Amino acid sequence: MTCDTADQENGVAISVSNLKMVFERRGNSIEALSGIDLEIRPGRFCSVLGPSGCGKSTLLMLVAGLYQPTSGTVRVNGEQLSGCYPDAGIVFQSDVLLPWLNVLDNVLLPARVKRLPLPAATQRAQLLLEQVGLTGFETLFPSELSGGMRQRAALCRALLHQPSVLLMDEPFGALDALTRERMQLDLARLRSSEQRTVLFITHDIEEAVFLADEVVVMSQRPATVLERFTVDFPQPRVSEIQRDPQFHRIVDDIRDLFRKTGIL
Amino acid sequence: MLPVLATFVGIFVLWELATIVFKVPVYTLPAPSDIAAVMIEKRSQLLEHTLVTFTESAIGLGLSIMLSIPLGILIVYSTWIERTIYPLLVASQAIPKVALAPIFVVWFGFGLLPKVLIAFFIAFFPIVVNTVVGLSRTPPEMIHLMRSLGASPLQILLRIRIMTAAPYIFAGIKIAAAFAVVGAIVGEFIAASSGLGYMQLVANNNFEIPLLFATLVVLSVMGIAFFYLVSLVEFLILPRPLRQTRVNDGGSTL
Repeated sequence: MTCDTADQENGVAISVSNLKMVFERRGNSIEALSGIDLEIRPGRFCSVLGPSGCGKSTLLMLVAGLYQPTSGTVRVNGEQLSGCYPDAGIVFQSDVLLPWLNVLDNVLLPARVKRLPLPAATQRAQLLLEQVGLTGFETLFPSELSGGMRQRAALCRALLHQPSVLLMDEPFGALDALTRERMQLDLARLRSSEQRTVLFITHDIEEAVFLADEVVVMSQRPATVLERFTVDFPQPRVSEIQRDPQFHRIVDDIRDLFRKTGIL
Repeated sequence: MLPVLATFVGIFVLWELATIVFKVPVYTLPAPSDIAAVMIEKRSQLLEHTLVTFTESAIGLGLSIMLSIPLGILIVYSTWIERTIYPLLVASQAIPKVALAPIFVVWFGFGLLPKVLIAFFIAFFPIVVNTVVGLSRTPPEMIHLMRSLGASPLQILLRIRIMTAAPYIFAGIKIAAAFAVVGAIVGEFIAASSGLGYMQLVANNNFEIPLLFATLVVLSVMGIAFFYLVSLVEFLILPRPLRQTRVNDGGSTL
């Protein structure tokens, strides 16, 4: 990893420049990303919004350092990635809880892998679980929880080691509408008390606007950035803003953009 | 439990009645009571030979567990071993083990060793295959998660892949346990002066058919004992969500 102090001085937490990704699948080249540029300042919440299959999950995997880009660079807190960025927390589409560990041990996984002191980690785990309403469920196995509870436990796990960036890949996509709203509020509350930089992948326009300080709209595959929107509501977001005309204006603008580009 | 017991008792009663009604000679099919009588009469002899066969198959099974799991891990982690050793293992399974027994006797003599080796040779394959299958079944998201936390390949193996493979490995060991007994018996058929296989040969030569059946009963009991012993260990060391809910589906993954 090379360190670029310029990024840190300019106050950029995640910086993606001219990122290209081409997959080779059974002799076919599939271009997923075609030159993505993205900058997220520290503590900002950025939603990446795009149609399904556009390559937005690929973008997250690249920012996490789990994939190597075909070309272009990803910098996180000034470090150019050549592997996984160790100070990130990830929430995947599915909860990816380990079925043989109970809720508390699942949340403690980052501490065990990184060999952090367990007493302090356990305290933090319990605090996080309390904040998402999972107190009392610590000793249950994931198979004994509902989908929403499992994803909340996964969120606690991603936050346990106090990562400076939180990467979320359509984390609420598999949940029912009510649970999703509840989780959105939980996330808004949890994140704003800890001020982390968030990259949030979604295909839900309202969700993107509701949660984010900025919304990056992507095109169909091969993905490029279509447009950026700034959402000027104070954090943490509360459900009232969904009744604000300004909220609807942004949602409508994005929908119009999707219509114009043939996505809708 | 009661219906299970009733079924077994029913089978034995039918068997007993059938031998009386159809006047089946004892040298064709002895009645359960004949078999029980000879088991009581020759109990010390049976116990002595049972211990020999049990020792041979237990050591053979133990060896196969100790060698198969690391070998399975190597096959999954090394493409070179997967392409060279694994096909050889598969090919070796096409050889009838009975054909190997005389060679093992020539190489290793008449004692315990050749029987242990045949038991091992039969038992290790299902464990290797199930270890390979189990390790390959790890969901890629779990590996992504571990890598994103900065986990080393060893941490990923020990914390994730071994755990997802564990139910498969135990299923393999259950099959292997039954195979190990067969291996020991095959070894005893070829050259032995003790063990249940030897006892069967002697009983057969002396036309002591009830004794022959008695050894078969003891062998089945030994097979069941091995199977449930492995199930017990599985129950004790695996966390609840990884245990198989029913113990009698050991062969379901092969």
